[in-house]
Amino acid sequence: MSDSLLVTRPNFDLTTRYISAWAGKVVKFAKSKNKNVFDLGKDRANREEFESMIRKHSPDLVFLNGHGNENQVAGQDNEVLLSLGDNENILKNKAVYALSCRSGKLLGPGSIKSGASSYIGYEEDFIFLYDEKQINRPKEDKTAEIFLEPSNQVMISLLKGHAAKEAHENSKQSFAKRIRKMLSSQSTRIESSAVRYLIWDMQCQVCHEK
Amino acid sequence: MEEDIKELVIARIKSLPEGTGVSIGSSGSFSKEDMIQHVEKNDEIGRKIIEIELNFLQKLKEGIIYERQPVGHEA
Repeated sequence: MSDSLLVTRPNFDLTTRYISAWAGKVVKFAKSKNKNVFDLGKDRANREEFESMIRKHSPDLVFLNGHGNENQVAGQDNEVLLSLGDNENILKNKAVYALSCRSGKLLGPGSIKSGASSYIGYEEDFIFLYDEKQINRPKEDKTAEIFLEPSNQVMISLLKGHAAKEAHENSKQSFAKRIRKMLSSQSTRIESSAVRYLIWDMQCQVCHEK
Repeated sequence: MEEDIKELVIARIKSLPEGTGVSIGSSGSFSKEDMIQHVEKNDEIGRKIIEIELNFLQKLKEGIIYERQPVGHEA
């Protein structure tokens, strides 16, 4: 069972505002399970603090939220926190979930080679729909929930003690459950529209392990 | 053929409820109108939106949306 979690939650544009707000639900869940949570929000989601907290506290779980690409994951104002060939070895013996575009393609496998125990991420862009009326209340946005609740399932499963592969499968199961509902005749207009993006996200989620 | 696909994708976007936006990773967030413009221009964002639509149609054809069972004891 994991005892500690480090989470990065940059917040400087619409995408980071949403994913960081929804990551707050994971933080709340972790605290309810008496985990030690190191929560790097907004300006604290910078490389110096990120590396310092990992070295000092050596958390079992690392939950990264932010923009990214095949080789990198960023924090506040797109400051690079992790970069393949530079500092991915900081993830040694850690289980990582990166809600970040494309880092599952190269940074994920590279992190495993450098000693991370597991890396769950996305090989392509993570896409979500949102309700423009709710952009100042992202946690209450039922449209965004369609995407961000199945994503959170990765961390919820890891915090419950599931192995990385199980957490990955449980998240995919959560995506698939929503997709099946959306393909049914009872789906709402937004659900019918959202299904193509949800299938995309589900397909792009990958799990790398030692 | 390409124009037919564009028209199909634009029709899909128009069917989104008013006031729905889309976040596409580092590319940014877009309104329905923005999405339609990108598809019409066939730029990088437009091609991504088209790719997602074609992927959806392909997956439906393949019937990949199958019953997944939860893993572990307390999922």
